[in-house]
Amino acid sequence: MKMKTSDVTVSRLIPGPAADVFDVWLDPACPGSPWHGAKKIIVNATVDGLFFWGHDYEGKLMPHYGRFLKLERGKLAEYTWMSNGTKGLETTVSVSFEARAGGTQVTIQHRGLPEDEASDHKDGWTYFLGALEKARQRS
Amino acid sequence: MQEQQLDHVLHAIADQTRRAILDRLTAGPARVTDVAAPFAISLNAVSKHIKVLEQAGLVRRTQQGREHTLELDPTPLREVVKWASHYEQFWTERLDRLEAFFKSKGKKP
Repeated sequence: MKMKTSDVTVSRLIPGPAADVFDVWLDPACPGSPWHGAKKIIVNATVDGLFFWGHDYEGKLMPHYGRFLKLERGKLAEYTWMSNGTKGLETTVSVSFEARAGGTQVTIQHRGLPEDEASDHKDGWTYFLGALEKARQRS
Repeated sequence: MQEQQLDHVLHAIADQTRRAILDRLTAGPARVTDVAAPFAISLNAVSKHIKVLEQAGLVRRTQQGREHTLELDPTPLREVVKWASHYEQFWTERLDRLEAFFKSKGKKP
């Protein structure tokens, strides 16, 4: 049976030129990079190059693996992403960099994430977000 | 959040009557009889729904004499939200780090 999947998108205006933001994103030695501070890191940032990113989570090494699919400096970094959290699925992370007034709009789209059975409760999901909002307004 | 508790919460909020009960309780604590009044089902049937909500930790019951009062506890719902949006949080934290780096870089002479 084919596993249901979903996507996650987050976006932010970063105060820096697109090429610099792109370089920082892919440089594990830089504190602004998502790879920085890992227990074990191997990043071969070339198309078809591989990465291993192992970060410490409650004393355990959590391994993540992937392959770079597209690299266009200052525009796009796209790579596959597999970890315990993807439940055997090869997911895709696309990071786009768009020059804007005041910096670079960085948009991360993580596609093909496994959905749990919880997603079948669509009514429930919609409901509890509303309930949370009401509870927040009361408190 | 334990998987079993997550299952209880999702099961609880998947039912229309139970959602209506929770909706009523978002306005504040209420007596069981008042909560049951609007439903065209027996008090016994409503009590069963309330028990499911209590098992999920979404509703707390207090008793004074013969009177039972129900109160909403949204904590498990917050936990479900945290669980559901794990990857969103993960990437948001990465953007926080990237933004902080460039903001601190911009302040340097």
